[in-house]
Amino acid sequence: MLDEQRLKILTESAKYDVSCSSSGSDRRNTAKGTGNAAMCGICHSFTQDGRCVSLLKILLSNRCVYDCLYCVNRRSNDVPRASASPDEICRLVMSFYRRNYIEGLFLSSAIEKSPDHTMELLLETVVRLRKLYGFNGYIHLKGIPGADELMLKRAGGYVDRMSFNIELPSEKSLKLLAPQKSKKAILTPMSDMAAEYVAAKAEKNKLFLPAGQTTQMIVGASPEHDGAIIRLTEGLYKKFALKRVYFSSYVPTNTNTDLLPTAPVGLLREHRLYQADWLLRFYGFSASEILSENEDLDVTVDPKCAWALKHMEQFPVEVNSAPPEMLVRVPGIGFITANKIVRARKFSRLDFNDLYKMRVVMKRAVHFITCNGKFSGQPHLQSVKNLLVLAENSTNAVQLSMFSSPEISTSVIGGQL
Amino acid sequence: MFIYRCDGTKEGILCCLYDSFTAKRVPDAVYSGRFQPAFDQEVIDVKTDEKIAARVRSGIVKCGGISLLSELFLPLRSCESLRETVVFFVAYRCLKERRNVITDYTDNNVLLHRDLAARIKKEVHNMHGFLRFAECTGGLYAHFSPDNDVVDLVAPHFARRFSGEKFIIHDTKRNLLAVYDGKSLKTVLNDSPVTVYLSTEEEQFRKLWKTYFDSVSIESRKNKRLQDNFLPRRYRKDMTEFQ
Ligand code: SF4
Repeated sequence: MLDEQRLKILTESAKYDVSCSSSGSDRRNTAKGTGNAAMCGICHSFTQDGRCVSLLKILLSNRCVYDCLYCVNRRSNDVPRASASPDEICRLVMSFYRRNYIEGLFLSSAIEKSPDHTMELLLETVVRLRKLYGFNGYIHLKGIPGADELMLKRAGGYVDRMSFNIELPSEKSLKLLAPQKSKKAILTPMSDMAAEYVAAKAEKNKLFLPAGQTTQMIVGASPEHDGAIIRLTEGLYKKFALKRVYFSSYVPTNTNTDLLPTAPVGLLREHRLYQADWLLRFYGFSASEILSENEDLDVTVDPKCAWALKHMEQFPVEVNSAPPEMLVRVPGIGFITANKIVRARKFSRLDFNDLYKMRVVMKRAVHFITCNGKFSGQPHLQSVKNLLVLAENSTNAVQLSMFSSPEISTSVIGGQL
Repeated sequence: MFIYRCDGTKEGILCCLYDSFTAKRVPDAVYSGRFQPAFDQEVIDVKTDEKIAARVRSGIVKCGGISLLSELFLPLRSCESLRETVVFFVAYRCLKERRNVITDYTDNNVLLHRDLAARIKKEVHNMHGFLRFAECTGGLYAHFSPDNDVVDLVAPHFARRFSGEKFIIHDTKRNLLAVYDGKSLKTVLNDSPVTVYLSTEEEQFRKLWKTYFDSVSIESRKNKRLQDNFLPRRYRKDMTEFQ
């Protein structure tokens, strides 16, 4: 049985992996099994920093032979080490799951001995969990780059989601900060799995990675601009059919090197990147519309406002007739509100008061819309911008980091962006 | 100036609607159970009659199908006292205009109705995550105290999940038990105290869970406001990690 001390060691460092999502899979329970997966994902608790706890995020081992500078578990760092056996992990998962503490397992590991050795243990754990313990809940497995291809593919048939972390936004940074890793070793399995995933989908095979692949990169440990990061993100979605790209703000980990910044990145940058990511995935924006390669996202207003301010020629739009894809481009109108508007205007013509009632964020939207031809926003660009910055400051405190988890972000699709 | 007083069930509301249409009178409000009317309010008691209810029900189905029916009555599970009134007026408008008006977000009653329904759905979803079971001799046991009357909406999720196990979900606010015997679910009213005996491993796993919960917090990023937003404090008294 895993004791408290090892549990602590093996979960402390796993927490920086930001993806905690349990969504995207609708795995069913089997006759004698335990568990199933919910398409929308389920949060089971929230930490003091307001992040969702959904999966048991744990490392099989934190004994690493690699030496990535940004990581607490790197070989040269002096930290307590531990590992768990596949069966210990299985028992913990089952016991937590039955008590409804968790939605499933997020299993990862440091590179113990070699990539193949590590992947073998990971694979053994998930196979055991599914076959011996009859577990049908959610499993997210971290793939080990450089491990045997067949082993990786086999794992894909047992788990709901897999991720190979891209780690850093450019090959140059990767070489500098994670010398044993290479872009090729990360992208090759990602693309193999993507091909397999697409083929499985075509055959209606629901058991191969039903929730697809995701990846994660550290932001702020290296000098890339937001523009480059968003372009990379867009490319990853297109090329590898990824479900999500996660950003994780760099947190200093007692490293004595001038290669890394000494201060952590503010959460605001991470938040802006997630907002931009939303525009890519749901709002029909392209990376080039959002910003140029060498630019950073505006910190004073969200990316949708920033885009709208640059394209005042497309506004104001008439809420009573604008098509839905234009409505969602209006700052202060999100998916849910756009949907409400489209449905409600079938009953009667809408006025400003109706929009208030539907929870359109009027202090943002008012400068970009007309209601029955009436406009009541500010006519001058600069004053619009100033007011948007003011509106932004009053909402930021609560909103930060909401976008990192799809389970909770559905609550903000409403009018926030 | 009058109000309807009924038993607060779907059938009760349907009978109020029947009275309203046949007697051609529109109430100020509809209430159930213990309720103090204002001095100038006349109270009309409406008795629930299955046959009448069935007639009005089929009238509503004609406006928007079976799906409208279940959506329409969902807010009756709310803890807000205006629930019956809101359901009544949205149903009234559907019947009057012979169409589904549940998406007319310019209508104040519809807005209130959608709001109550959304809060109930959200609570059901939340409880799928926040409910905590304890392993006891004889099966799993969970207690909670939801704002709305949702225990029978929450339980089926766990029946699918823990297919072969026995469990009880206890709404301590309403003294309701959802009981699953490994095959079928039923909800029963229970006024006597419930005693359970924890399994020998229970304490140990609670400790491990708390260890895990504390270790995943990132100290430097504390944001209690955000936590309070997602996980209201009133729910925490039933959750293992906050004991
Ligand atoms: S491979 Fe690199 S990032 Fe992964 S645990 Fe080892 S040192 Fe850390």
